[in-house]
Amino acid sequence: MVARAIAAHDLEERGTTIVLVGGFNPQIFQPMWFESHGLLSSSDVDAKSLILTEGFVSFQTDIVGITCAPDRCQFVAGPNAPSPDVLRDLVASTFRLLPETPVKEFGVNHTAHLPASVQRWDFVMARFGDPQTAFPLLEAQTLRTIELRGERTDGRNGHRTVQLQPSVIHEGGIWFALNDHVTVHAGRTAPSSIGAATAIEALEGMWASSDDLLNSVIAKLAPGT
Amino acid sequence: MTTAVIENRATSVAAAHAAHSDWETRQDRPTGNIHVLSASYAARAEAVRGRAAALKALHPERIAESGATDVGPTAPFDSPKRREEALRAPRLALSRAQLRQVHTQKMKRARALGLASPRRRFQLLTQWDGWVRNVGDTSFEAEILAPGRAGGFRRLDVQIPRTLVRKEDAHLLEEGAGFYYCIGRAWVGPDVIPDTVLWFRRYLAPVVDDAELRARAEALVGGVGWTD
Repeated sequence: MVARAIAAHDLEERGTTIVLVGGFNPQIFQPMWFESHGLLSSSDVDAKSLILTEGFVSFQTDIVGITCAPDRCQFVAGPNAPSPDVLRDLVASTFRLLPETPVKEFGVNHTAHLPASVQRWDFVMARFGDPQTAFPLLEAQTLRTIELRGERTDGRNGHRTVQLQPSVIHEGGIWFALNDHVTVHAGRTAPSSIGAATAIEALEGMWASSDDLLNSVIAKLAPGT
Repeated sequence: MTTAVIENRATSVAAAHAAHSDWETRQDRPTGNIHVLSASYAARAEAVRGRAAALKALHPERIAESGATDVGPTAPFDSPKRREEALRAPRLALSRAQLRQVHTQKMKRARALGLASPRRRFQLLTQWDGWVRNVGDTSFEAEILAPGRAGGFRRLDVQIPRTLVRKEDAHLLEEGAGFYYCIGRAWVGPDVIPDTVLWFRRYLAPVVDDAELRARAEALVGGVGWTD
């Protein structure tokens, strides 16, 4: 359990996503399946949108959005999700019901928009040097994306990636995405020998530290907030 | 859908699939709580600031001032003494008048706007994690873990009216049930107002058999560096 206090800014917008990579049966991941197993209530599976084909399912409710293709499955916190922890509970419970599902990798993704009043894109960009003179490739070039990748420090295989861009919502502000990626089964392990248990155990084990990492990145991006 | 996301990272979709787990997190394809806001939002944000004081008055943060003990960042439930102290702390019921006031405001605005659900977005500011200890006729007792001021957690005993429980979660209200009490603000029509959500966890805990539990315990004990 992760009781939390979030230093939210008035204009800040956050999102959380969990993406699992492996082998999935998309036809399972329908709203009614989640309701029938008690993972979501009847009111929470009232899909605002639903796409259902043989190899692809996507639906969005106020609480959660789920997109599933044969090779990956994505869970997104919806606009009315009270906490990102709801997402963790849903993913863990889903794959405890489907333990034979091969999951080779997964990522916890956090995104946020920081308004210019908190931190300016110009300021962050300047810390990486002058993009117009450092390595000119185009006339009047500007830096639009910064992506940094670091090793995991918790003993798990994988990496952490931070992506920074000028916010499309807040003029002069920053959008950042943090991908906390864990490789559960590396190499050419036969999918039939992989279950979801290891991935879910890793997800629950790193959830709190992933949240801490998010807060530390925000604290460095916008110190003093 | 996926190729657009990874076009600057890998030369093939297959390679990207094998390498990335950040599917669809680009900011021009908003996910999660990200929504494109209208230009009038900045003006409304000022109104939010003005309502900061109202947030404190409307949510039961005053429970934190009830004399409960700050138990630090680790092992919050290990000490019997701390537990006893917390159990003796005065128990406060959430103010029903305040809850009614918030609910009435939300529903009134929703009706005025013809919305089925009064809240179109919730932003979390503080989260308390808890579990039910005893269920009464009109309220239930619970232990909650709330963020402390020094970065740790504080454990509190609270009494929460059953009216806070969503109808669809009523069957989940039983002894031992876990929940999140989320304090934040809600976007209701054109307004942003203080709001709280009591969310009962729908969580399937891992099933561990006795032998595995014993093995884990032995591994844990074996890892302790005992001293004389």
